[in-house]
Amino acid sequence: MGCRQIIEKIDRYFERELNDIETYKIEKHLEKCSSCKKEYDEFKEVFDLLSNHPTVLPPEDFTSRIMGEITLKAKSMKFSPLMMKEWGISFVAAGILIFILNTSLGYSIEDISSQIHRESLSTGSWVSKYIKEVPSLLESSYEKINLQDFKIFKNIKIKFNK
Amino acid sequence: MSEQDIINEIKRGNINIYSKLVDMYKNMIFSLAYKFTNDYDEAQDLSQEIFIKIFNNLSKFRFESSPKTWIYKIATNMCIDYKKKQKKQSLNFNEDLMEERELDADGKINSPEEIVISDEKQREVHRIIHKLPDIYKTVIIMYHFNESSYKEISKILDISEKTVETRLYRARRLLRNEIFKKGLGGETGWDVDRL
Repeated sequence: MGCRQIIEKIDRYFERELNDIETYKIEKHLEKCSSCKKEYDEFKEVFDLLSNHPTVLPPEDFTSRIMGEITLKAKSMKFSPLMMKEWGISFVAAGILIFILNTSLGYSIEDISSQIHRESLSTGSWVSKYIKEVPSLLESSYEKINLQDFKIFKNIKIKFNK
Repeated sequence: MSEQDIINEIKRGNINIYSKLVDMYKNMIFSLAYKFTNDYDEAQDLSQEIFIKIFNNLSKFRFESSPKTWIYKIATNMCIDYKKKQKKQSLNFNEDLMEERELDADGKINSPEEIVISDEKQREVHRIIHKLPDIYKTVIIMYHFNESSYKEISKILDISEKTVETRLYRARRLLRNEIFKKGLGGETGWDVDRL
């Protein structure tokens, strides 16, 4: 192994990523080559400084401060991220439904809502037509009642047990 | 409780359990932020922002990578963005004036890291690392201080493992040059062409 190869592999040597043969060749080379030994010493210093470099720790209340911030935000929003997602999906679905109703079926929202309004009015008049008969029905005695005289029972066949 | 369980629990709405995830990663993220800011208070603000962003993005995390890779990716990108913002802001300031502010009444340099790193030699190493170009600083921090593998670094930074090796190789030579050729201290000027 030549000097150039040694210097190229010196990083992997310090990372302990070389196999035994390569490691042996480098160590043998360093014993007899002073310029490579100088490079080796300098890199050893760099690796030592990095491995002994102190970790700067955050303050003790670091976690509680973050949690305080997050809890505050969550309270103001009153939604969890999952809920936000679900609400988002619901809004999108509602939007798509309105779009389809508005365009694809050939009806406008106004047509649909006025149709619903008309239907509710006709249902009301239909019900009130029969309600008008209720007072006269109540006034008649049971024996005199001929149910077929009342519109409400016109289409209903009632079988009395005699 | 595994990281996956914690994340799933948070997704279900139990936000208090997020403190466990913060405890797991606070040292790693804070030391990364400190290397980018070189200021203890700013490192706190930056790492706090990082953790809030992680929390806000948890619902999007689908375990396509490991939580560590995903968390570190957010942290690294935010640190790099912080540096870009700082660079834009510092264009309006005279660097010498900023240095002057750091002198105390006795004329001694009153550096902020003196409080947190007691050893002078290691303080200089911190300064040298802080001044490294971002692409080299990031790999040095990840490999040497957070014990990330080449594979993990390549996933976090979206680069090949070969590029990770090349960047580490160059970063160490820049460090070596600063430590041995220019001595410990003085203004750092990076000569990438000499690698």
